[in-house]
Amino acid sequence: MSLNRLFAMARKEFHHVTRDVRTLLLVTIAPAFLLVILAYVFAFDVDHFNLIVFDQDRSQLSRRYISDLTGDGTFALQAYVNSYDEIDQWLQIGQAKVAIVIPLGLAADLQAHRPANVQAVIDGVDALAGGQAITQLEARTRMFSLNLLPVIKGQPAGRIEARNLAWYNPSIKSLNSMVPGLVAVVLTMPALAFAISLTREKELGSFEGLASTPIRGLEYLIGKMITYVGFGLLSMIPLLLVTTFWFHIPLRGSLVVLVAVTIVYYLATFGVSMLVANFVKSQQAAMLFMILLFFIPSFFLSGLILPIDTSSPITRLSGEFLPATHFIVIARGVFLKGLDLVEMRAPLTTLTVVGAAGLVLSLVIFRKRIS
Amino acid sequence: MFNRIRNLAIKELIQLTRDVFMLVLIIIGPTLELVLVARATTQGFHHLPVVVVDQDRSQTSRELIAAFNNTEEIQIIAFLDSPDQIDRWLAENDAVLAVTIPPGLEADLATGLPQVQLIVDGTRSASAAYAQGAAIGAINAVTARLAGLNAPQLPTINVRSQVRYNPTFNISFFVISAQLGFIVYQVALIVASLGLTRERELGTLEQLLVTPLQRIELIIGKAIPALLVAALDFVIVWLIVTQAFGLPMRGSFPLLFGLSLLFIIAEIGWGLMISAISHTQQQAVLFVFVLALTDVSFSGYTVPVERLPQFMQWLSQLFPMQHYLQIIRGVMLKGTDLSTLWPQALAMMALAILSGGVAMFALRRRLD
Repeated sequence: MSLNRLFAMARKEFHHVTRDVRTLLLVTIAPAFLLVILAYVFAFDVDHFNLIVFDQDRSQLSRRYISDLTGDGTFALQAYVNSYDEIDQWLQIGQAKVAIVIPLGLAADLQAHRPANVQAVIDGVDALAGGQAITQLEARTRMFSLNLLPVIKGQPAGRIEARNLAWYNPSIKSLNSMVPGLVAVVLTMPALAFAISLTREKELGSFEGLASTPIRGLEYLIGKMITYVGFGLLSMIPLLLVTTFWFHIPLRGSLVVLVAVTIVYYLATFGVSMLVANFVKSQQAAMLFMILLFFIPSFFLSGLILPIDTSSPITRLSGEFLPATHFIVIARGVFLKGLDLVEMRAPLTTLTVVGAAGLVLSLVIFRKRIS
Repeated sequence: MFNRIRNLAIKELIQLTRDVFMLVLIIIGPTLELVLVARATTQGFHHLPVVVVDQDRSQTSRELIAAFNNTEEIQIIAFLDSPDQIDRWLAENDAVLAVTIPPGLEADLATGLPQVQLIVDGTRSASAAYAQGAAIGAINAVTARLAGLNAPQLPTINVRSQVRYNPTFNISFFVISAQLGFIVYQVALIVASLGLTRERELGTLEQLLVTPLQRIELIIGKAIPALLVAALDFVIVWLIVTQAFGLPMRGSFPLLFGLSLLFIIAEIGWGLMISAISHTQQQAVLFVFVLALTDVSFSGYTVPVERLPQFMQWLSQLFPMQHYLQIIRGVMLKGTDLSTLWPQALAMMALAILSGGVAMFALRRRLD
């Protein structure tokens, strides 16, 4: 192995990236740009449900109930409707997620010390949101009922309150928890560029040209890898500027640790790129593979968006193999919990093992292929 | 003219299928992605790890603990002696929620409002919110029972819920219907964006330009294979979604298929625009990556559109994905037809014409 040849390869790849300002911008600025878009969208993920009301009672109490429900904006009152048909229409076009029907005689029932029922019609298509809506509705209705009790009966009821605290990140759904996870998603971009760059030489036939030079397979791969790890680290600069000064996400751990684990993450994702590049002939195929079977699963299996069922063996297995799953745990550890390398040894070890296995396997296949 | 377009389209299809791996990817890839993502994300949470500090050790605290363990979502994995130990369990991801039951809980019940403290790991947003919700539910259940003991006949308001379209809150309806849209999207965009870029990078574009092929024929000929491949993938994934994953098909298939073709054309337009601004396939790939993440963000899948601020809601209208997901869910899950879906259908048609037109214009200028 010659360092000279290795750096010559790295320099060639460096020129390829910097020659065209578009490529340069895409590999350095695009991750930060994506982070801003993703983070902004996720930041608005507060419970918020569009509500319509079919109030048959039209009493002072029913109006109080509705204003109690909608007071803090969680249920946004869209309209009062006058029939069940109208409820159907609103739900069909998706303009409302929840409809409440207050029956005639609600106030009278309560005054006569009889329990009363209100009906809720809920759009179940978005199951998570629908479930949240029912939970919220029941909790608020119960609170409303309990507050009514002293008025009606003049006697308080014993009850236990839950006091909620979220550590490391006081409001659970804020940017703070999402952004370190999203960093793992946008930092898969260098792996994509790397996979395409390997396949490109194959497709253009320039790989044969390189093969006739004294450069060896390993030097070729490491040379390319250095370049893309380098640009990946470069893209960390705008990314960290955005997280720190725009989103005000604390970096509680050390920057050195963050850079070190990011390099491990890049190498682990590059293992996947190399494996793919071994099998495909065209950049188009490489891209389809990387997006369909690497990037999108990483995005969804990361547990960022939807709850992941860790009890299913298939999920566990595929989750273990995807570098992003481990890097998200690590990124949150460094950013929000301020952990050091020792405290993160579990996910770090898995990430390293997965990465090393991918790299070694693809190197073995690569050697066979060129000889 | 049609002859020339047909010949070019055939050439493209041969090129696509010559790479065996590519062919396998086009047919198997979407299926694999669907199975992988659907399996993982449709089950919800089970037995999230919880630690408990019980400082009361009373009948009520035991009742609370039993109530926690009775939920499907959370499971107590350890009892701690002091609140000081909580930090270690949460920091190293061994537990997602810590419950502290203060001393004197039972004694306080008669006189005041005793509090149970719930501490969640705020960095794991999805599971933390879930565990917190389950714990609050368990506490409320105990409270309700205690309240029932105190005052047997309470005049309260009960909520009777009725859930439409998806009565069992089956989350797979939501997740899998979206995956159908995403897969068709990815395939259409990737095949369309790389077709012309590839010719340019390989230098074969010049050869094509000196043939009798006109610019517009070249663009259409390149778009047809993308349309065919994406439509094929739509049918494959739709079959799997309805047959293997049990999603209902309450509306009409021709309507869904027709609107899907419009969606594919709109996305091919975006793909051709990318190929107009990219010099190398590497650039095209990275552009697709940026566009795809933006599209998924505004699709209403990760965050319901109505939760976004007004400005972003308007912006999201420009992305075909948002309308397409509403169409898929409307036709498949709600059984709606054009009388309800016409705004989405119109929007889709407008976006298809718009992006197709802009792409034609941009590409013709680039090719000259």
